[in-house]
Amino acid sequence: MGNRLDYTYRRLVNILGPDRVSRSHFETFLYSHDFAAIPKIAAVQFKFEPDFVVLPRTTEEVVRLVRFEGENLLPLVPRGGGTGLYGGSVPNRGGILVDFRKMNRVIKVDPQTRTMMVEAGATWQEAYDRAWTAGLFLPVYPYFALGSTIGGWIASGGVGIGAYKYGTSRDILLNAEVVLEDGTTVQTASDRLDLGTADLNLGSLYWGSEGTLGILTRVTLRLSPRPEEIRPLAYAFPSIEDAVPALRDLAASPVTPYHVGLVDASHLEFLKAVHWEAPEPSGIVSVTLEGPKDECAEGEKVVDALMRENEGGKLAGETAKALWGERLYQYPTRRISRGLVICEGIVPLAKFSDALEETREVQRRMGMEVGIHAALVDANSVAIYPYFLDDATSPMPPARLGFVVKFRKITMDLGGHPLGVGLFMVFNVPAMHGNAYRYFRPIKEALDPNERLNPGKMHEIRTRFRFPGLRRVPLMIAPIPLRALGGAKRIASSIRVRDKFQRKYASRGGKR
Amino acid sequence: MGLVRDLKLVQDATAIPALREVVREHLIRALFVRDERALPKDVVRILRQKADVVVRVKDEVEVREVVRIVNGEQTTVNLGRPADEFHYYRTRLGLAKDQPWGVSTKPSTLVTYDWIVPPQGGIQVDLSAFDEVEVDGVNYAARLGAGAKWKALYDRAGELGMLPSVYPSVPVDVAVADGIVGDAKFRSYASPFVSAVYDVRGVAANGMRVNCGFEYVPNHATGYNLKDLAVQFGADFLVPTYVWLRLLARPPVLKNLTFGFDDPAKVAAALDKLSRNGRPCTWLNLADERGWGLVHPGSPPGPIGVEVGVGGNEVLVAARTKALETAMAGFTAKGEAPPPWDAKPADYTKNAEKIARLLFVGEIIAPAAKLGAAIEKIRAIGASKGVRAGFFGNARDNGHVYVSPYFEAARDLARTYDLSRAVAEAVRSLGEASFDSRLSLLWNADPHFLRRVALLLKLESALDLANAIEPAARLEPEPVELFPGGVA
Repeated sequence: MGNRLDYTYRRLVNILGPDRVSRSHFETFLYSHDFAAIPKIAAVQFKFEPDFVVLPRTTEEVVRLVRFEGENLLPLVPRGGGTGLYGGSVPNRGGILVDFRKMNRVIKVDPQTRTMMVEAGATWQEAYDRAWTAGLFLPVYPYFALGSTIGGWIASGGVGIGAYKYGTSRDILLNAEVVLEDGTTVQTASDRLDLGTADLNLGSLYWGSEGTLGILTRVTLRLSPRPEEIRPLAYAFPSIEDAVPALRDLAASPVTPYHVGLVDASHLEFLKAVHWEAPEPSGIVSVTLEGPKDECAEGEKVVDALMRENEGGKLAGETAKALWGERLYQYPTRRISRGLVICEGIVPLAKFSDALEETREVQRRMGMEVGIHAALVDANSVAIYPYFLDDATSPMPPARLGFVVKFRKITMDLGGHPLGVGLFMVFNVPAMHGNAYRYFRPIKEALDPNERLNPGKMHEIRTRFRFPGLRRVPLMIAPIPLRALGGAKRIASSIRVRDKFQRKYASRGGKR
Repeated sequence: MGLVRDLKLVQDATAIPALREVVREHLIRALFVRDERALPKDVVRILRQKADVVVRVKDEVEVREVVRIVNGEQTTVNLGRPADEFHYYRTRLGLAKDQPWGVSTKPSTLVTYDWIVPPQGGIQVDLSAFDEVEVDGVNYAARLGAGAKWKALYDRAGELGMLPSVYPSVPVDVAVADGIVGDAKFRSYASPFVSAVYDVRGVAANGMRVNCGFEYVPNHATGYNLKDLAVQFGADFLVPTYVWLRLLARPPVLKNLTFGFDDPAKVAAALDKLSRNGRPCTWLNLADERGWGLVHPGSPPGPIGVEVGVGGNEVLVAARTKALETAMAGFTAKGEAPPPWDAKPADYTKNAEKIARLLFVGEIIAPAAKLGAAIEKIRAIGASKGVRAGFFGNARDNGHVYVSPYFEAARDLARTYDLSRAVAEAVRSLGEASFDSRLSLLWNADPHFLRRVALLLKLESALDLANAIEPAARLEPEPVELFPGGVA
């Protein structure tokens, strides 16, 4: 094995040069997790540390890597900014980890066609800034825009800022250059035309595929005209449950906000623990308007009126601006612990109150501190993000992880679904998709028959072992340990055992 | 849109690289116009096939029943096929992928023309009677049976103070699911069809019901994007039964403002400018004089008519109208007309039938700035071919126009082919533009496009391993009968 890895290393150095290939333990360790806190004990089952970390600079280098990978049979795991929450860019069986952050050029911004051609490793913040400088506007970007890469977020298919008015990254994706498993490249559509579904546009096939069907190396995004104004507004309610009628009125109003964020008192309590200047805990609805100045002014009047009718108090403009300014820094509380577990799910707006109530009930039963914030995805649905503190350096899995399974069930029972698949949430897929889950394996087998690209994810959980019986974790039993942890936490809560985070949180002035 | 049927036959027939270069174009023409003298015998056999039976289904249960019959789970004796053969091959061994016998879907309305390859025997499901429309008034979404007409949705949603989030590109009386199984196009000024669909439910090749999305929420970050795949290629791997479409709140004031232009270049400049001002519109349609007359009762505002849906409260509509008039510099007339969708169902159907008699060949996608050139080229084609030519079109906030040229000519296959070819050539000469039609897919020889075709074919055969849904024609010589008449 050692000889084979030495040979692989030499071949990789031949392709990329010694500076962009690493096998040092320190570096591979850094790449063995993403934003989520992974319990150390999980390393018994998975080999999170890649054998090699490589940093290609061009599509040609990625093509050579994929072709070489075909010879050595090590898995190839693409990785963007590492801001994923479920291990989508974390290896499960070692292999070659391809870090795209050296492929970070904004190749072209064309004001005439309102398009931007950008490499997959550029961050959304860089792309946003370049568009803005060129007099254009990148309308959709993730909450982790500072670190999240273009290719990474498109491959994860997530929800972000601007979803209410502009949809998702799929809606602005004109073309993608994808390296296929056989080392060829394909353009999914056109760089200059928004083809929609014409000409067999395959862009949407790679959206949300988490690098398991092909590797995105370059994309062309559709930009919007730069708005005359971006006007954030904020309204306080006793709780976000009380804001639900106002949200329904907003959905029925003639105003289409750019973004609607919802902050629960629990989130603000967490923020208070690290930022004394955070707003006082309450339910806050943050409505951001964008467009011509006169439309924003009229929009503000309409939104003010409907919030007032629903007993929402308007917050000072400075507070609204501060909340909008903090949109990319949602989790400063991470500094209290050494990790954070964020759950994500979408439910119909009509069921939002039920989702909050049930989430709080689970939180109460498990005796946990859970911060909640949310955002409207469209007039019909809302994305909820409950999160809790965790210590990623602890060797044992925290009992709090049981909350993840409970929250997943809440979203699905209410007609919604959890967000994200990655490595750790694959067990959600059969329940989420029902019979359609049967299509997942054929899709993977058709487009990556030799299972080279980010294998063992999306439709299965593959472990580090190669023995029959241990190769995979059956999806049916994958959530059982988490459920057991949830049960343990509930029992601990009932006998009033306070964990260290509760103590730490209380010492910071958090309320219970 | 059932793309695989035609693509696969043409690919198989031109499998030898030398032939691909030499005969592809001629072969496509001969296939399309059914020129049997120019085609090999085995291809003619494929073109003469037809469905053994056409079933007009009324609900999902009947669709499942049909797929079960195809799978041999119900008797197929009545259809002249031994049940055990299909049951055994399809469900146990998967060998029936070599049997081009299965279930195919029949769209309610075809805007352009039929597929080259007819159903290769088997059962054809006619979805037009499956016309359920359900709008619950709570969620901004509608559940539509695969045969439910868009106009029925518009009327039902309107009763509950809602609007569909997309409109038909050509005001033909199409079903929403025709965007999946047929060639209908839907869009609004802000949204393409694919973004307006929450979920496509269908019956898979194994007879099971499959939801490719989520009924009342979008499918973000849930793994492979099956919903978009189903909207684009769903008819190739399942029989669609229901579509969940996003709806919008109907604004308190909704006006349909009309503008007349006499110079195509001025419309092009106006639409380009409009797309850059950041003002929302609900729809933006354009049509030539004749096309306008087919949709609206009054006289056309000019040789080129543009209608823009502007919604909001009084103040927003006033601001948007003013901005619109500024952007639409160069118009010769302006006014207001009732939205074409507000016509009574009988009148709408009557108009739609008149429009459906025109010969449509596909849709031109181009930047708005190229609209003038596109219109000139359509007119030139009409003049050179001796037919009256016109167009319907839409524009979107992405700065693109989507123009459907029409010709007042009989729907003759040879004429359709020649006009399609002429439009494709014209689009090519425009530069940054694309011609979206089933024929143009067959002509496209771009290497990246061909790679996409290869990926699509792989995907289709993986998702429908038993080749039960829209079975592709199998191109092979007829088996030689060693003992004609049987052995005594």
